[in-house]
Amino acid sequence: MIFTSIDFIVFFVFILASITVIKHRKFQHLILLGGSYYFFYFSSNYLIVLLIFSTVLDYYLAKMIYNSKDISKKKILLSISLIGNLGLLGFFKYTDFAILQFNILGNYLDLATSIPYYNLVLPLGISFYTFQTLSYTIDVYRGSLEPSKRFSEFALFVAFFPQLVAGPILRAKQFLPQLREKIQEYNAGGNIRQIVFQNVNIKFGITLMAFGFIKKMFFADNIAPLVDNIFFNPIGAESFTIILGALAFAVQVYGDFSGYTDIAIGAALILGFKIPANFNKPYFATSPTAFWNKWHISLSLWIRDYLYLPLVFKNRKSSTRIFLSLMIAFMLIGFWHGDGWNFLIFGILQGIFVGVHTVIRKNVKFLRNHTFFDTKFGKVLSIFITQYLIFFSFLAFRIPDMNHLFYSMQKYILIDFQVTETISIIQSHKISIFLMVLFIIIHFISFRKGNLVEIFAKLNYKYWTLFLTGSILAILLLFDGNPTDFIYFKF
Amino acid sequence: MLNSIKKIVFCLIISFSIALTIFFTTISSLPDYVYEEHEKFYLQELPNEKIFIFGSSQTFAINPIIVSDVLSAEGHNYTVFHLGQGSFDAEERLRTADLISSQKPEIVIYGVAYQTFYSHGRNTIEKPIDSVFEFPTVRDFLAVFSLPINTGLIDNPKYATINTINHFFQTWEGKYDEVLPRPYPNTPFFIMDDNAKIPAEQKDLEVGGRLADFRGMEIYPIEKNRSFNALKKLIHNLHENEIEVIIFTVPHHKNWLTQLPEQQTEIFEGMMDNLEQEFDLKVYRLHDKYDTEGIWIDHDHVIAYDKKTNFYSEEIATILLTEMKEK
Repeated sequence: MIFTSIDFIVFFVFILASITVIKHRKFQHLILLGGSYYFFYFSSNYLIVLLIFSTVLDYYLAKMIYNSKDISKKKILLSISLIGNLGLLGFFKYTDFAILQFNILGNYLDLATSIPYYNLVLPLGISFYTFQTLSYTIDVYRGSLEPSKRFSEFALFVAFFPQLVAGPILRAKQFLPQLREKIQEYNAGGNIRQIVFQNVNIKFGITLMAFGFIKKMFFADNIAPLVDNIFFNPIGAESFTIILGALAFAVQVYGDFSGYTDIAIGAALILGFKIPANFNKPYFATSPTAFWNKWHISLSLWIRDYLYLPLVFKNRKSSTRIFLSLMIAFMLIGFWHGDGWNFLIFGILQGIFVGVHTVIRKNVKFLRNHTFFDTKFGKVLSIFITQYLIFFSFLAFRIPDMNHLFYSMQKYILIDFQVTETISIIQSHKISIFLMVLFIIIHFISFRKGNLVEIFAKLNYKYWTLFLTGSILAILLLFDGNPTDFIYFKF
Repeated sequence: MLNSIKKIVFCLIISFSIALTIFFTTISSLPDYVYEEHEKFYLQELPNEKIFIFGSSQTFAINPIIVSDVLSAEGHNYTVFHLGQGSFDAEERLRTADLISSQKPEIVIYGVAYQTFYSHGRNTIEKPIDSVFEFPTVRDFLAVFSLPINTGLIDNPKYATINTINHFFQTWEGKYDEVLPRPYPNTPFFIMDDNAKIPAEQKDLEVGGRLADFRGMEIYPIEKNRSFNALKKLIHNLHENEIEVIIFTVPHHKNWLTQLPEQQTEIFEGMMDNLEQEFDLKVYRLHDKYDTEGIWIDHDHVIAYDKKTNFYSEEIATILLTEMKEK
């Protein structure tokens, strides 16, 4: 079930109504859990077994790790969790890719036979929920988290439907206390017996969801035809066409993914749960490092906490170690996205950008503290250069065919100054171009004026109704009749 | 507190009500310009014995007069209408299905191309595996009700919006009411285009050339392909009204065809096989049949208003004659 379908709206209203009517927290949690499994089953059918397997595995392993006094036993149990989760992820996500590589190698070595493909279906959200359950077990192993006492509580943490299929990747530390406490009194430690709906949360949540729907259905889905047109076969395309395609894809993927996240966070907030933000105006980042602090934040933090920091832990002063650790971390981020070489290239490029930036900042004091970067011009230039590099790496994110990718990269860097085809593409995709420009303007206003969601959520009821009416109408008038899936569902 | 929540719910109800009212009112009152143009044609009193040719710009070079002359020389007196239209895909054609059936043509002959089935960025949700138990969707439920308005536009509001914007600009530029010249008699939807008689340079059609380079879009497989499913619905509809349907694939330059990704060729061939099996009809494959020099505007359009390309119209007539003989 995807958020942009009418099925989701009906499902969400039903869940909301149910937990409003049933005023006991235990039953409310069960309704949420049942609803989450239904939500998953609606799209994934019996692949729900994998979700349940991952949940059961980590629930019991974490308990055993916590109760064990023997450090080597703890390590063995953690290894089982890692093998179980990563094995599941690896098998379903990368088996056919590995077979393909073996077959190519076999062909190169003139071997007569080839390994048949499994043609496995990628289970929805597997990259997200396996990382989520892993973080739980690792945190218990590290002693920074007490394991959950009730299975239903842990199962809800793993399967909570707003963020189940495309994140943000939640940490148990962020979510489990919310199941036990009233959201507003979470810090104060007060106990309650039911989920309490807060006016502010509901209004903010609905506004956030409206923003998410607009980003996805109004912007991303209507810019997609332009991107598809340019990148399905870019061979022969002009440089400006490729740059236009990269820019359009940047808007599309941001609208698509951050739109999903907005709907997820908004829906969770209405239900009384706080999910951390996943984006923070990434296209105004002034460096590649800053970009990853603003883009898919939950994934960057996960990789930082569970991979990068352990890698650099032993020698934080070594630039080589930092660079190599960053390269490994970003290669994993790249490969996490999918089973293609293009994703690995995406990761390598990001690793180089962030690694070089980090090492330069660490070693070249003159550049790190130069006042030029505090000036307006310095900031604009930094944003421009950063985004030029980020959009360059997005080519690898978007184009799976290596010939197409290398051609596009070459054209992106070595500008040919031809415009004939670019003009014709602009003329035949006026709506997409218009929406791109509109999106950039709104994004800029949001950067200058602060959080637009907050501004709209604080409007008085009259203007808020007007905003909602306009949003619904805008979405409806540019809806082409079929809900399209989110890009990150593929990961 | 409760009052605030009530206010929020009230605002939501008001927003949805206003938005949906404006939406449905707009959609139902918006003239569906393209549909209206077709309606105007189909509501005319047309001759009894008639054949309709469908397709998009790749069928532009078919002259219905030549087709009817060839048929008439063989003793079959039909009025042939070429109702092709540039960028008019199967989904659009499906919206006019009732109009087509109301005229009861003897035969409908439809030219399809790879481009007919391009995704245009539209995809449907792929269900990864067959369900153990499939829950009904809201859409299935809503399909039970029929709306007293143009459901074609409800199915694709984006089309209506773009159509209206285009119409606004055409009216603004004073182009909408222009009586446009047609390329041949009985072609009410094609517009005369002088560029259609300028042949492409041979070097552009060579492999690696500007026009032979494959610069297409993705074709989604049968189960996900909206255009293909619309075409099948249209054929069903016409068959239900006892109208014979013939499908042909439009000519493409061979150098372009050789550049096609293998996957696209497989999907396209699979679609044609699927049509033949499901509807017990023959698909006449012209897409790789012609490679004569000097007949191409680009990789999938042959030049029009030129004796050199009369073969295209004659080929259509031959297909029709073959089908008539087999009946």
